[in-house]
Amino acid sequence: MIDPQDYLNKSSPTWCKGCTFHSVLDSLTQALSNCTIDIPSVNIISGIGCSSRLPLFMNTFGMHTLHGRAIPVACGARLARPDIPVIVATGDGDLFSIGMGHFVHAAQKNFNITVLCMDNRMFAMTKNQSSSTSECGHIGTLTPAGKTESALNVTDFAIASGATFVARSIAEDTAFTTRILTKALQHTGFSFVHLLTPCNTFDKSSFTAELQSRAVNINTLEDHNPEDRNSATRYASVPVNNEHKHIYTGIFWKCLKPVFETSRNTD
Amino acid sequence: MTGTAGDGVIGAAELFHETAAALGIHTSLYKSIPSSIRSGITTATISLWNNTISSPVGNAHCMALFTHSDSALSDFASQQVYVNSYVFDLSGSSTKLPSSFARQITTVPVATLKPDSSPLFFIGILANLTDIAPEQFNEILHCKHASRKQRLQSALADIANGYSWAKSVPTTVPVPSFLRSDKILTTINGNDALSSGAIDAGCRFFASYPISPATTIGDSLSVNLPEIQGVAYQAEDEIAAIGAVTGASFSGVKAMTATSGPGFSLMHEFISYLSAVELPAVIVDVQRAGPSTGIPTHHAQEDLLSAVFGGHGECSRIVLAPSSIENCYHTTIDAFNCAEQYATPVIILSSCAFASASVTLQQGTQLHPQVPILQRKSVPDTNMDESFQRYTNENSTSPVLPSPGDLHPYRVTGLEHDHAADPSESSAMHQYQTLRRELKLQTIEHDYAHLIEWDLEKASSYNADFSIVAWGADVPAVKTAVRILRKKGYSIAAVFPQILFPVCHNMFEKLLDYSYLLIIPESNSSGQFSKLVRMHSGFSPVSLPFSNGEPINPDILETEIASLVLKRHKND
Repeated sequence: MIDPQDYLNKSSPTWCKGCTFHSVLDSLTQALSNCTIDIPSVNIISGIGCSSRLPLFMNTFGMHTLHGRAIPVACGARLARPDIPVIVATGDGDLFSIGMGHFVHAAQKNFNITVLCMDNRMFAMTKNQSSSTSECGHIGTLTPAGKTESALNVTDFAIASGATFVARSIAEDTAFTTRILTKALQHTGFSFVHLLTPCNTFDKSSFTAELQSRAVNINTLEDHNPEDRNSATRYASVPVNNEHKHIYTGIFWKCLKPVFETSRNTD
Repeated sequence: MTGTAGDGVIGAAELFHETAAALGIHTSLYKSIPSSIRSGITTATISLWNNTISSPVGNAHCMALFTHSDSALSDFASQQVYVNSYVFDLSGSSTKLPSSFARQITTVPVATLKPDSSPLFFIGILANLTDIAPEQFNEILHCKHASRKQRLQSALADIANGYSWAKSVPTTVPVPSFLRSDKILTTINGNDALSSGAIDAGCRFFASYPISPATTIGDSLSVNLPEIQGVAYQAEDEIAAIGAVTGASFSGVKAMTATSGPGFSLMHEFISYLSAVELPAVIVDVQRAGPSTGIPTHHAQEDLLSAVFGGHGECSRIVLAPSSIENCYHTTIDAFNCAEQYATPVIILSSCAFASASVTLQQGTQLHPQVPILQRKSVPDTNMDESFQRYTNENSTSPVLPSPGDLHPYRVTGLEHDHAADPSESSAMHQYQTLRRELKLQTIEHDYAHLIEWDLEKASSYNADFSIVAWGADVPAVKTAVRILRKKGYSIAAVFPQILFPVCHNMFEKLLDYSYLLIIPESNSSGQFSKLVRMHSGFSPVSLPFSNGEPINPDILETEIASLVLKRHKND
């Protein structure tokens, strides 16, 4: 059994005090330990942004790459070394603004990677601009009159794109998040985990303080079957915002399909 | 041979080229094709050689015209002809060509032929002129049309008819002598040579997005790499392609991508990244006429400055350019060796002229590496508690590069970093790393001296009338022009570097010993290599730009050089 702390290097994370990304790091290291993944045998790849600093705090192999480009780097890594698990750890701006095209293609191909979207609903590193998951009306430095379009529903989008494991968790519920991440790592195929990680510095009002109290674990609901596409979409399509009573967490969708690395038609 | 795309001009030319090779004739084939599938003008240039193959284009001894469309006539008229050049008009048009086209024009009666029969009829004519019997085309035709009996019969008949017609009609086509050996010769085109070189260099990962004229590199690697447990991956765009190459390289695999100008522009950010994190990678730019979409299937060498300077920050890289189709193989092997030795992105500048041109191999039936293949160093088995120092002077060239699964995990980052790869914002560290990344490349002129080809006269030192430098696909034309000018009595010092960046300072210093007049012909209008040379040496070269979308014609080049030298000497 590997001590979760052993996955971390000696540097202290440079995130703000109270940043919810610290919780993600705790859950991820525990999940890696649960899956007994050796320290040198995992590659954690990120793009650019606050969340993307995560690999730099790890003791594993890692790549802190370019804005929006973690996924194609991950695809190359998987094709070159299908024996090495790959985790993409990045944010909403990286994945769903500049990186959106790569997300769709990798999900469609069902690359066997685990993609963590640390969603703080903005570009935080550059001090608050609207991202795809910012709500309509979000005031960012480049949209002082408020964002005109509504937020992208990333879990719905992930299912439509072909991801074969789609889940959501609230980062500060580290126990729940750890269980979700463990299952995501264990899944064979494109796993997408939507992590709600409000920004403590730039947009405290992004989610309400009662985030966890509104959470409903859909895997405890009798009418949800994560292997039923209609059921998955029904729950995944409910937006995460202050207008809805519930924030649905848990596994929306799970299925098994051939993964691209081993099923490509090369004849 | 000039005709409308889709009417069989290229197919016919390829048939002649491959048949000639099978008969032991050294031959080259250059294809100029439009960027659409079925419209536009196509020109095929076949050359038969007496000795070393050089320029695939030049003044033609014999020309065939299959259409009188305005664009064909305009293209045709712009091509230089020899004084006694012979034109066969197989357009079937009732309009006669003006006598200004050529001194000798023969209208070939093709009115009863189907449009795609005329090119094969001309092959029959050519066969008669070059003493190749029609039945010698049978074997290759049988392979091409194995499942289409009617097509095969029709093709054989067209060639036989053309041959008979030529026999019955006296012509005075100036066919020069060419060598015919008793060996079957192998043909290869630039893109296939490059792909083979990559495989023999140890490349086992290729990612690309289709773009003319680079796509066929991926076509052949998509078939050949899986057969040797390698991976060829079609990415969703060029950024994804080079991203995948980056991931594969970090994972310990030699990796390459191939694109053309527009796609290469998209890759600049990752080139900066690869330079910063010091990962080996090979990026091929098969150049085409630009800017923007330009002419996707026409030749140019307009991406040099983009290759040298494209990207942000001080991001060093190596730029190589093969100087012949055979060198597309060898230089690719050198590119992979450079990438591993210097842990840096290496850009190969090929061009449309090599991509779509085919030559017979000078020797043998297969290309083989002429240098040892460098392998990446694996991590020594040491105590994992020791901090791995990736970015130090001692680990700059032929570095130890751990990859996932090895001991000493490390993280690469595009942020400036310290010796142990941790992010650093220290001014001193930034200065140290910037200089180290730049300086590590400076030994390339010495380490890869075989990539600099000198063409000097026998005397150990002499005052040349001029010196001349050329790169990439311009080299064959310049070599031919130098040969012609030397026969006319000029004294010349020529050098053909395949290393374009870092600039070979010692090479240019040596050139100064021969002449202060340095002429640089280039297939671009702004004299890109001249600009680079001016920045890095004591020369102010004279640029001779050619930007007509075709390889330089050595006969035109020779005239322009002679005129320039005469003017210079008059002014001295």
